[in-house]
Amino acid sequence: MRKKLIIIGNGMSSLRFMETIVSQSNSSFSIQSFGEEPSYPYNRVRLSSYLQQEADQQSLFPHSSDWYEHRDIQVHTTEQVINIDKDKKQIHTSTGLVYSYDYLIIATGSSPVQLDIPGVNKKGVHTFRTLKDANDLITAANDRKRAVVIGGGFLGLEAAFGLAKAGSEVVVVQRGDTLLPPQLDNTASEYLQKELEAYGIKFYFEQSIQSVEGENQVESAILQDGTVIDTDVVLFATGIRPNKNIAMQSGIRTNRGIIVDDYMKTSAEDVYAIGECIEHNGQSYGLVPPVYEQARVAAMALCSQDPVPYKGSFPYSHLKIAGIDLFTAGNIEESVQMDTIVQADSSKPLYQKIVMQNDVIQGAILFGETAAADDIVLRMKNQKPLSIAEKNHLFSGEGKEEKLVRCSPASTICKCNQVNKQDILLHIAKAEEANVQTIRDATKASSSCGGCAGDVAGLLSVFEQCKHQAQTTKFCACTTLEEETVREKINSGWWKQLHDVFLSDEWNTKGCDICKPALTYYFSVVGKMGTIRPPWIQKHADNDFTITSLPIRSKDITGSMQSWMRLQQEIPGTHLKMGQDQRIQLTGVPENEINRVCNETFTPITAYPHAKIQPFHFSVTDGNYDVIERLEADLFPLSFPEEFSVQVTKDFPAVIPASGVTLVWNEGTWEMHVVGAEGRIILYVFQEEELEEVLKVTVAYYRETAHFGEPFSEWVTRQTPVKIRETILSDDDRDELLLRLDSQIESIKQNREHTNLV
Amino acid sequence: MNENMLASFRERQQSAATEQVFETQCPFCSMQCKKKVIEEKRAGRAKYRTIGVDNPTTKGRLCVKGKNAYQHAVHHNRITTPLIKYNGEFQKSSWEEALAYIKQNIEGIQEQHGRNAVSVYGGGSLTNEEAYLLGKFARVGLGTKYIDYNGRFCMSSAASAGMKAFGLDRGLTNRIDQIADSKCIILAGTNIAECQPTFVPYLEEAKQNGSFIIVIDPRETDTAAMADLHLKIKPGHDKTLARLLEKFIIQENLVDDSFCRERTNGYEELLEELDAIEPDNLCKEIGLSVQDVHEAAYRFGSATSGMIFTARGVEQQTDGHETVRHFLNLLLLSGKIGKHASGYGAITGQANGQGGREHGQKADQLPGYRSIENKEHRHYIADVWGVKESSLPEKGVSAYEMMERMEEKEIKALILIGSNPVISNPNANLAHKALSSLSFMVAAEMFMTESAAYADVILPTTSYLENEGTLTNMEGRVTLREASRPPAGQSKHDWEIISAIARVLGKGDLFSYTDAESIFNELRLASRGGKADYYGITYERIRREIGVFWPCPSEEHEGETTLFTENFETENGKANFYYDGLISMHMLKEETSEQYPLFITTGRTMNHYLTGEQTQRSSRLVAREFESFVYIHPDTAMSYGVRSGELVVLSSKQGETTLRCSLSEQIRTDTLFAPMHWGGSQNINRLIAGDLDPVCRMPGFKRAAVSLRPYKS
Repeated sequence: MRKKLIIIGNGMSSLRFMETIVSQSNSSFSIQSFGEEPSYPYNRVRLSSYLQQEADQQSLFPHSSDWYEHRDIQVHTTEQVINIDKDKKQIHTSTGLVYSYDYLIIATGSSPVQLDIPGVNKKGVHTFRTLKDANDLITAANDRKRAVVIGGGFLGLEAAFGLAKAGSEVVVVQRGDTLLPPQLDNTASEYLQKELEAYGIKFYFEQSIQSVEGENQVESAILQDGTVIDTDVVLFATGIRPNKNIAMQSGIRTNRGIIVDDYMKTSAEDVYAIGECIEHNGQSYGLVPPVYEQARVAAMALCSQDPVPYKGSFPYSHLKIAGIDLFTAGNIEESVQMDTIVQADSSKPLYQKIVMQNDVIQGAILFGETAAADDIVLRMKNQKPLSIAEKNHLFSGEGKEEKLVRCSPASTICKCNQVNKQDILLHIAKAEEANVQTIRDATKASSSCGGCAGDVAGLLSVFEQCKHQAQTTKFCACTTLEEETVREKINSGWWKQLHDVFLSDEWNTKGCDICKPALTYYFSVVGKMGTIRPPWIQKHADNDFTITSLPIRSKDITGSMQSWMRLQQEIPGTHLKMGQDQRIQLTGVPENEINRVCNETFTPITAYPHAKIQPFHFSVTDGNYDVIERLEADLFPLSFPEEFSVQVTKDFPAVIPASGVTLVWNEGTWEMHVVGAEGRIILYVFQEEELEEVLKVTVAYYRETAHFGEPFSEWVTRQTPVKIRETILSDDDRDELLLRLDSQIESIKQNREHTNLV
Repeated sequence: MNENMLASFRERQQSAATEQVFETQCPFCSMQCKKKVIEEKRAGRAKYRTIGVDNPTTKGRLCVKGKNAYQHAVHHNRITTPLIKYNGEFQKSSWEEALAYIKQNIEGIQEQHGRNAVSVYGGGSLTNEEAYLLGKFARVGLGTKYIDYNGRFCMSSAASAGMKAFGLDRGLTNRIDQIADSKCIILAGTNIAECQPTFVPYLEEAKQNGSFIIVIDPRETDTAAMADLHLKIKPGHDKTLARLLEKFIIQENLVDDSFCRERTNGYEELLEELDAIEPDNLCKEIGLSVQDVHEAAYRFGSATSGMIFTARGVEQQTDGHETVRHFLNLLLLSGKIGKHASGYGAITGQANGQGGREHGQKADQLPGYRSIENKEHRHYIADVWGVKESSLPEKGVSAYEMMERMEEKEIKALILIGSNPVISNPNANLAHKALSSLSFMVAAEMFMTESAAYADVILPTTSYLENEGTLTNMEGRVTLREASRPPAGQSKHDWEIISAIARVLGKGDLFSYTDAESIFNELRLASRGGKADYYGITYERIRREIGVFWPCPSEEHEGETTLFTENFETENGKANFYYDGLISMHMLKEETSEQYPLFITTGRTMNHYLTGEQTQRSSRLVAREFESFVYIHPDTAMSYGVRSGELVVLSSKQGETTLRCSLSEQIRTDTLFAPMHWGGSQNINRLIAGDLDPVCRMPGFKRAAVSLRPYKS
């Protein structure tokens, strides 16, 4: 039987607790939660943003009702727990019902402190805790145009800003002489005050409220020194008090809050307490991070073999006011044992301060620039001392995240498994709910040494800023399909010819200037497109042909010349000419002799659409000519996705074209130089006899995997040199690529029916 | 034809597959990651997958080497029958023929030139059973004093230092997971992030927990990138650095005085010795700032716990022993040993570098880390083996010196198992001359390595997927590598080969084993009461507990996870400080000169292992790195007129090597770096001198003075 788990409270700690419990694979509880508010659990921290109109009401709710249902969680709203019977392990609720539990979690939170002064019951006096409070304040701000906020803490300032933004004239009354005490020093407080004054907020320091005046509705607030402030709204933001009553009445030990041990257990058996209602080692907490930590500790105590004790938290928080970056943490009080690093620039304004003891951070204020906040929190948690270099660079320099955003899509993130940034971004873009685990499973990133786990997590958090790098290209306006899908349909034989594409439901035109050539290429690269008559075989009006040779490379041209001269003598009516670029032309060739001329002179009879019509510039002063010349004749009439070149040289090439490979002959070995993301890459080095195979595999792999129009060097970067080499070196892949390439080369040499497409 | 081939591809796709699963451990480094290799056969073609298997040390993680390690084991170039060289050509033979040929030659040479004319050379990748058996084979099968192994070039500095300082040499003095709790970690001369990546999560965890990490390396490696403080030292000056750190720890009053007084010897002498040090000049000499060195000392000294790891960078030096001793001094001074999360780790390089150095493969050693020079130890082992103590040979010489004796023709024959000395020895030309001088050589090998090519007989040995046995990982945890793949062709396990040779030499009764476990049971007995006591460890226990730590004197004993909590294993139970340098007066290290103006240091890369015989038969690993290279700082490259991608020639007093230039801002301008995984003209050890550490006979692989020029000028 599944254990019954009851949670009192539908607040933030309750929600985090549920989330943690259900994420544990070995947990099996049926969960019920009870709250007085009429709504499902919402993110209370975002109420400030809601009040400031930075967030809509919908976005306050992290989960829909389905989420709870699927996880077997029953959320009871507007149902208050009025008694705990810890002996019978039951609770009684305001509806008169009784529920029994195996485990009980008290997460009753806290209530705002409302000062006991005359006039607090008048209409227009508010607190700011619940969604209802927020909605009431919004209504009040809309109706009435003046507000006094009592308290210059986080909540007070966030509310003051929200009211000011809604158009109210706002006055903040602060008991001490700084804002956000004790988290800010005088300077930081002044910087913040100035920022807020720019939004029209006025401040009274070292003042407290004496009374609220007015008939039924608030008309003015009277301060300690007699100052009268005319106002329509008075908002108390003077602190919180743990809600401990239900526990206290049920005989569970309480003090200021409900007393818990290091595993969040109360004095009653199987009863835990978490969140703002607790007291742990004499401390109660009012900020979110400690509350989350406690929820996690309690959840793990219930379902882990090896629970981690709670060691208390230090406070840290970001001020949630749009346009003001402020982060505070820990204790910023200075003393003789403390060292301080401060950087202040009122012109920006920027104020950053770190207080340390023995180089371990005790407290921090970051105003204007808060990128270092996460690092500071981690260091305060693990008590790690700062090195000298870190002290020097603490506030400066590029953050890790900026680096991640800025780096190119080809940057290697996981060195162990050669996973680049784009691979990970593509996964995030595609996956429904990407996280570090799904990335690891799908891309292998961080599966070995895990050193890149931080960067992987970083990419998740900066994804929005660099998702343009993950965009897969739409084919063209004629279809909604992506390039990869189109290609797959062609390769798999789903579409057999151009016609099939244009007739299909997925194509809404008869093709355009973008998709026609691309589709032609994709069909031709898998041999599903006829060859064309190449430009070196020219037809003339009188139905005879001129055939132009490939450039003749050898120094001794006798061999090549002989076959041409013999043909000229044997075929009547033909003439030999010298063409440009060391070519020979035979004119006046009748159609039935084309085959013979081409075969005997090794001239390709046909070419593929998108073939590179100019042969490569193969020439090298030593090495194996025969192979090179044959390879040239074999390869250049094939279709290529983009301009492609092969160069051959004996010297170390200072410049290499991005459009292809440069083969460097080096005393018995060939080096293949290409252009990659950061300049020259020596793609591979191999023996003389491997030349044909390596070059052919490289070409075949490029043709089959490059996008139409993708330059060779971009393909190298996208595919990565490692994957290209893997293909060259893997027996299976290499053989299959060669097989397909050779069958196309074969067709060039045979006389086939020409489809004249060009 | 084409159509037929296409059809056959299709057929292959459709036909039913059979699947076999091989439980094993990665054959490479000392992390010994557990994994399984899944072989899927379809129409005669096999496909392989590798999956990590959970275990206490590496938790199922694998690095790129481990993921692809099946590729060499199933490679078509495996030697699968015995080969005998006739007139310079290898020809296939039967086992009987090969063994008879070996018998004839070994017996002939020993009759004519004495027992010591035959030598044995082993390796750190052999299982404990095989390392043990090789030592026994040399002493009682051949009766020769000449046996040593490649671990001499790997762990001898750390091993000898641990022995002298603590009285015991185990890779890690603590269980590996304690690293996560250590508050300051010094990584001295180890690029562990690239060499043994599955170790890294412990450092990451430590960092998360607030550990301050100090890396000592002339290069900005991936390991250095994790550091809070990187000391980018000039190569070969680590001993000076360690002494400076000692000096500052004393100066800042961070010494654990009561620990030093109660648990160490030589404290006062050390204080006196360090007194004379002048930090300012020394820091400058080693290329570091006083501020950085001081900070390192301060962080380590003031941390509540701390660990020091050393590896080949500081150990493969001609003062490697002394250097490690000084790092151990640091631990002792600050009282950071014998406690949770405080201790020492020698990052063992080879798969079984640990076990390999415990059970008698070393010239001066008998099983259980016993000494061949100790009468009592000799008696004990002689009894276990059933021979007379007087029949056991004396101690021999170290691996490099064995090569010298071969060249001098004092050693006439060699039996080589599990090593490739032509590439891994310093002064590679000597190794070439030594093996060429032999009258007879036998190699047990999987592939035609550069060294095996010198042999007269090659016996085909099994791969890790086929050969069961125990290996002791870097922690000192004895693990059991299961193996269920049938041997390739006629290949045999190394232990079968050793036993078979012993048999034809008439010693069959001492080598009558039925399986690896039966050898292990003898090893347990042989190690009993020794420093590396395996007696309480059984195959059954290892399987059940997924590894057992040594020392483990009885089956009831848990195995020691944290060493030295009460006592050290020295004579008086106290650790020995090291002071009064041995070779500070006459440094054996090569200095740069006008002719050889640059330093070179060597190391591993992520994608390859040792001399590359295995990893370079793995196409995926070759795809990542298909040739060697040398890292050169762009400023240095500019002043020598060499460009990125160009071939350059490096020359030292010893020889030359040709490598491709790779520009790197991560290295000092006065230093080059090249990996050690390639042979032939890319063999970096052609540049390395044959000078040895006077204590442990370690060569100085990690520093040579070289010149640089473009290959084509």
